Amino acid sequence: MGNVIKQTNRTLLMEVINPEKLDLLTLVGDVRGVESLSDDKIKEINDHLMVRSFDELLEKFAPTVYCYYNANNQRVVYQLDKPEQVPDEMLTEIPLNRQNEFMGMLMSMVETKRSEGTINVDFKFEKLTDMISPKKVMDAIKQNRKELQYTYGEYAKLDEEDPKKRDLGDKLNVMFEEASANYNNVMALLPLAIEDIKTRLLLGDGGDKKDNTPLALGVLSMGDQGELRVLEAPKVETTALTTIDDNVNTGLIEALKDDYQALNEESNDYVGALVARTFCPLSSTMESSIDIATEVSNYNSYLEFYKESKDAFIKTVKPLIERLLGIWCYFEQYPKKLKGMRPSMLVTNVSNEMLAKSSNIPRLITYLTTVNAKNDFTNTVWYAVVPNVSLDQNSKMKLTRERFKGNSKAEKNDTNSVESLIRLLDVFKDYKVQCFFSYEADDSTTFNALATEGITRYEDRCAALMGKEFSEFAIPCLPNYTIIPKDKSGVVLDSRMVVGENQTAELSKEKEDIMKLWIDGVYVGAAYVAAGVVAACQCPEYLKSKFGPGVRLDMELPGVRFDIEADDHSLIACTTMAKEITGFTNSIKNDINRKNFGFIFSSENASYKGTNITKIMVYKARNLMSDGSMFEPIYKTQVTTYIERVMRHGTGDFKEDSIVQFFSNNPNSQKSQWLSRREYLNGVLGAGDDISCSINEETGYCTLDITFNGNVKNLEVEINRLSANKA
Amino acid sequence: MKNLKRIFLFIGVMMLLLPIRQDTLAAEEYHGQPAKNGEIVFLLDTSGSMNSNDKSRFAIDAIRQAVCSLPSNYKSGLVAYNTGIQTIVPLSGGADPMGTQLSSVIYKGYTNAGEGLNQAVGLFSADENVDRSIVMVTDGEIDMPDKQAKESSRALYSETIKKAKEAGIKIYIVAVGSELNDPNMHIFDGAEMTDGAIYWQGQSGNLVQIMNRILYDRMNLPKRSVGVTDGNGGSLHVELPSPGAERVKVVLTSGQGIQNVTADYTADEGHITSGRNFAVIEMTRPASGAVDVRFQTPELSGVEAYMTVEYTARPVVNINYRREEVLPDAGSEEKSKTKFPPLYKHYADLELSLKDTAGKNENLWNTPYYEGQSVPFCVNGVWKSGTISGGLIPYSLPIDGIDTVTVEFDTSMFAEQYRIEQPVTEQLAPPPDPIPEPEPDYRPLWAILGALALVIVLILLWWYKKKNAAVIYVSQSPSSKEPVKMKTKACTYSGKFSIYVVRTADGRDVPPQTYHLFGRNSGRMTLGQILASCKIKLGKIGEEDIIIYPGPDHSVIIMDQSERCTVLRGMEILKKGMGYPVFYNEKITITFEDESTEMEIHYKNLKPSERKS
Repeated sequence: MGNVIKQTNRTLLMEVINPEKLDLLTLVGDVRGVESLSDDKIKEINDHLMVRSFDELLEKFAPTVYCYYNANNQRVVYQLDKPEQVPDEMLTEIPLNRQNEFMGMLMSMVETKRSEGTINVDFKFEKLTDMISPKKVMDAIKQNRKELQYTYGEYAKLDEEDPKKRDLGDKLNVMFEEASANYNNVMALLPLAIEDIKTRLLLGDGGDKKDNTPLALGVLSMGDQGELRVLEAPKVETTALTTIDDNVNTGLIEALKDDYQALNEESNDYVGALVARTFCPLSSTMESSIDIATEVSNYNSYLEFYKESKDAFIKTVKPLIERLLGIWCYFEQYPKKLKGMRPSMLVTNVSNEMLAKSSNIPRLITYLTTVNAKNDFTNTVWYAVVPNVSLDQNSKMKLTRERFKGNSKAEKNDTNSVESLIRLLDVFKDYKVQCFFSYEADDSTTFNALATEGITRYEDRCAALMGKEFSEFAIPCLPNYTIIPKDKSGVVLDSRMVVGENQTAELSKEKEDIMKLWIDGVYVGAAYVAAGVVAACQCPEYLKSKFGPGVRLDMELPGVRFDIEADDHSLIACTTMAKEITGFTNSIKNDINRKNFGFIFSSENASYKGTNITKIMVYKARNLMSDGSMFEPIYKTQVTTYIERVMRHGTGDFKEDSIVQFFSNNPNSQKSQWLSRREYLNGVLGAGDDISCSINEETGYCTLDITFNGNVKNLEVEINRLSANKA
Repeated sequence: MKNLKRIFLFIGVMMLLLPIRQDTLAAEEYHGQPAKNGEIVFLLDTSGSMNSNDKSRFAIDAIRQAVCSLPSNYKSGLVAYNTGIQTIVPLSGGADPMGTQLSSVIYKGYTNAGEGLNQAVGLFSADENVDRSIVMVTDGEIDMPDKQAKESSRALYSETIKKAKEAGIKIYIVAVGSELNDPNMHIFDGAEMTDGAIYWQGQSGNLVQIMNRILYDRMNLPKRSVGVTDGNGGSLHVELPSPGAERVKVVLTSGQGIQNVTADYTADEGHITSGRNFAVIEMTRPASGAVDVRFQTPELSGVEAYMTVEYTARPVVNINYRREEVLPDAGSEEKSKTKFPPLYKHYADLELSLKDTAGKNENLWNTPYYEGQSVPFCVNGVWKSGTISGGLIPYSLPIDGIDTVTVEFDTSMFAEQYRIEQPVTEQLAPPPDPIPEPEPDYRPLWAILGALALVIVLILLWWYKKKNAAVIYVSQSPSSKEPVKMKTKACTYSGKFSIYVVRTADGRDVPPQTYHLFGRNSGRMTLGQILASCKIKLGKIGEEDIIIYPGPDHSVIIMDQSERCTVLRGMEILKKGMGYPVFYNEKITITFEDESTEMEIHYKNLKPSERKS
């Protein structure tokens, strides 16, 4: 089959996932005098930055939110960057992984929506948003503790020497590890405490215990009466927790308490008991006397604080979550079960603005020279994703945007400027990296907005990128995806508790007592999905899975020529994202088709072979290179790049005689082999395609005329002469 | 009364004739009638009746006055008659013999005017072109002792008149006394027949005045009135019109007598002739320019003074030659394009003047007296009139086709008498026309100049190439340690620079720039020039000392001539002053003199399509 490149979908993501982790600039290092990087360095970069799945990303980058408490305003502070001025012991690291309830909620939302196939207007977001309410947290813990109790029971039954006991011990260790994630910080304990009080008060049980938490730089603690407070000064205090009187699970309780105390040097009886109660079987009896008023007060303050902290958490973590969801969406486009050319992503872990600085561009160039300018294509970068580009087409780097008055949400000062995008595109064009970019994700760039406003706004924004040498490699992706719409992002945590007439605690029925927080919408940049779909389509296995056995496919060839716009391809190779709206109006579609602008997704009613398509499809796949009337399909660029690379590889860096052989009519020539597969779905040359070359002896260049359905695209390569230079 | 009527009629006729004559003279001016010689014979009636009519012998004094007043070209004779001829003075006698004869004249006998006139006419010469006149002074008709003799005399008188008329002799008759009061008297036939004139003493003035009128009015003898005094004696200062006169006469006349005439002058010769009513101061070749005359008169009466000046002169023709190129007319414009020799019209710019033949005055007219006066002159037979300016009369004469120029003057309108040796003829000798030099053949010159220009161009090209093709030492591969000399002349720029300012002293971020080298003039460039065109300002930290030359095989030669910059080609630090070739896809790292600013330059190829743009 001649020369084949087996990897045509490595994607470079220009985003920060965890600033504490190594990034591309750091790993590339000083490039003064260095033309390219060593293989070891590339391997190291791949080890740190290259991921093949979302889980691998979570593992390698361990996205984390840092949390500390500010005693001045009695508030909890979340931060994505590790605050250097805060000692480690005062910092709480909150991992953002699938176990994170917020993250989990959003991913569940996408998956649920996908499986339901309902559009946004019909989808019951609130069913899923209450996943981050304390009750749902407790429900999840309950499920875990059942398993814990059961496993521990089994463990306790076995003799000490029984080898199975050790197996169960290993299992218990894992379970304890997961459980400990909930009680190794007070914040995670809050929903536990809320539900604990709620359970005890509403059942008539109760317990009041002392607590004491040593404080240094403002530490969230619970007072003697269990009240939640943030203390400014450290305080060492011993406490005695009223022990529970359950003998049934004494062993488990002790184990939990020991574990809690081992993990928290400054352990607290109240919290210890809380942990024990939380992870003990419900059937356990507890000796305690309940001060209902105090408990109700504690409950309300816990709930209030929980709401505030959750609110702050969401506001802080949302940009990162959106990035993570974007990456998740990128990988979601390629089915997990497939074993083919799985898309891989190299996360720069450095902001676009930082990478685009003049001082750093040589590092990027050096990296790309190493991976893209060799005849080894294992690590070749084919795509780049630059999400969150500023909608201000003249946005400059280091632009500090002012906050809008009265708007307390975190401003989008982390958008990527158009200037930085241009700088990167200028580099990408030299290394044939197709760059998918999408504008800042909010409710103004969604399907809904596009359906109502049209694409003119985006065309205007892209004007600065048109007519340039790099335009061919700039792919504007739109619209952005909505995970939770802004107007449906309310989360009901719980209701306040009040003391009833009979001195019994009960939940308030008043509307104003319902504790609710607003996520303010979660959106994912279209560039992730676009890159994910295109990357997935490079894999012949993927195409086979989508198109079925009836389609001729060469399992050796990548899908570089796969035109997702052609025929029914967009219906078959659709995204994994559920439809969001009912569709675009005909006038807007006419507008899109008139110029064939951008990489545009559509949320249309469509069916293929009698099956309704409930996913979002690709409507247009164009870059910004225009012949004056319309923009060019992105596959042309990729085919051209592919041919150039194969040709370089196959002709020994464009040796003149090899080029002639490459394009000869010999059945074994590369051209003949490509032409013989014109009917294949993933043939490098399609049905209406052709390729010819002409060598200009004077200039020393070989011009390839690649015909795509009658449209000719030129590729110039400098031939490698054996004789002296003529040009 | 009848006589008075005749007299008035005669005067009227004369008055009418005068302007006619003046017109004739005016016309003649343009025909240039040179002054004629003259012969004048005084015919004096010395009959006995004169004793009563001219007791004081004023007639004799008047004749003397006239004789003395005559210019030198006039000859005078005398015939005194009564019954017969008392005395005859031929024309060549001169004034002095005539005065002697006149003083010896006695009035007696009859009046034989016929014989007298006959003798007078006989005195004239046969010369041509001579004015001839007879001034007859008589007091009555012919009267002889007998009738036959009377008739014979009358017949002779009439016959002689005819002869005189035929000879062109004009007869002026001065009637003395009161007897000749009838104009129809026979004696007057002489005047009438010969277009002469009759003057009656008393009616026509006294004899002095009559004689002046005959001489100056009738005979047009040149004179200039120099003053009239009414005082009892006095003085007269007479300025000569121009130095160099041959002869000057100052004539003082007075009807009441004039005495004690003295004159103060300087001349070669001079004398004063005086009579009872006249005095003539005659000077030959006066040296002084003025004459002071003193005189006395017995009574209060008018004294008229005239001056006659004679010059002997010769025309002087000063010739300046001039030529004017004849411009071709519009129709012959095309002809002019063909290189014909130029055509000239030739002129002689004449400066005409009069020169005293005695050599005393080179230019007689060069005096204020003559300035601005108009003088007729004849050049080659064509009469013109010119104005004296600075003693000269300018005149331009086309001389094409003529070899000589002949010039003469008509000086008759002057109060002075000119005896001019004219015409004068001058040979025209115009300088030859500038021979139009044959159109020079510039082809050899052009060829030489072209060759010279070619040589200069070649030298410039050589110089330019040499300038651009600096000989530089270029570092070679490590295997050959010695650098080689290399000329950059055959090399041209290609490719492009991608410029990245990695670090700046103030931390600012300079956007990456691309600089196309392709198509630029081959030659030395500095990094400073490139940065300036990219609008990157670093602040003179050595960028001007990083030199770039085109190199072979599409390379560029980088040379670090700075003091403290550090330039790396790859990992290799460039030696100062040594050129290092940089090929496509290689990069240069530069740390500038501020030890802070760093820059990377990536040298890249340009595709043909990029080169076109």
